Amino acid sequence: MRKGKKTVQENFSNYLLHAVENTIRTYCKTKYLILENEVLSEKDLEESLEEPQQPLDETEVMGCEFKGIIEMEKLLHQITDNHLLKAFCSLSKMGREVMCLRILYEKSFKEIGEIEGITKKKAEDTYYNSIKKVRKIVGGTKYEKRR
Amino acid sequence: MKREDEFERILRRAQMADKNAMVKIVEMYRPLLVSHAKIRGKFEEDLYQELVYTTLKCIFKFPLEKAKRESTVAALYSV
Repeated sequence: MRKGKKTVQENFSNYLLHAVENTIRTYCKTKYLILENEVLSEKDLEESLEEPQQPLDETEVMGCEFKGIIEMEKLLHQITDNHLLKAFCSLSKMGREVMCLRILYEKSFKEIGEIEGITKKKAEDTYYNSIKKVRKIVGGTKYEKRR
Repeated sequence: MKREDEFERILRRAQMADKNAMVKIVEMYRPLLVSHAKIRGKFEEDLYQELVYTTLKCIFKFPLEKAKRESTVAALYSV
C-alpha cells in the first residue's frame, strides 16, 4: 500500500535535501577559492612592505630533482615576496607548471614540452608570457632593475 | 494521514509568508540542517545560516500543487 507512494512531506524533504547538497557544494567551493587566493595576511603584508621587492629572475631559487610530479609548493615556499606570490598564483595552471619546471627543476623547454605534452615553442611562449604577466602585476618593467 | 495533512497545511501557510509556519518548518528540519552544516566534523555557523536561507527559499519555490497531484496519482496506482 505504502510502496511507491510519496507524500508531500517526503517530496519536500527530497527537494530540500537536493537544495542543501547544492548549497554545501557551493559553500565549499567558495571557501576553497577564498583560501586558495588568500595569500596576504596582515602580518605578511607588513613584512612585505618592509622588505624590498625582488623580481623573479633575480630571486635565488633552490633547484631540485624532478621525480615525475610537479611539486608547486616547493617553489611557492621559496617565494618570500607576497606581491610576487600573488602574481604567481594568478597565472594559469599551465603557466604555473611551466614556470615551476623551468625555475625549480631547471628543465629545458624541450623537456618541459615533453612533460606537459606541448611543443617546445608553446612551452617557451607560455614561460615568457607568464614572466611578462608576473612582471606586469608586480609593477616592474623589463629594464627597471637591470644595471 | 493526519500528520501529512498537517504538514501540507503548514507549508501552504509558509508559502503565504506566515512567519510562524516558516519557523515551524525550519525547526522541523533543524536536525537535518545541523547535521549537514559540518565540515570535517566541525560545525560551521556560516554554512548553517546558508542552509536556513536555502530552506526558506525552498519553502517558497516548492511546487506544492504538483507534488500533491503526483502523490495522489502515486497513491491511486499503489492501491
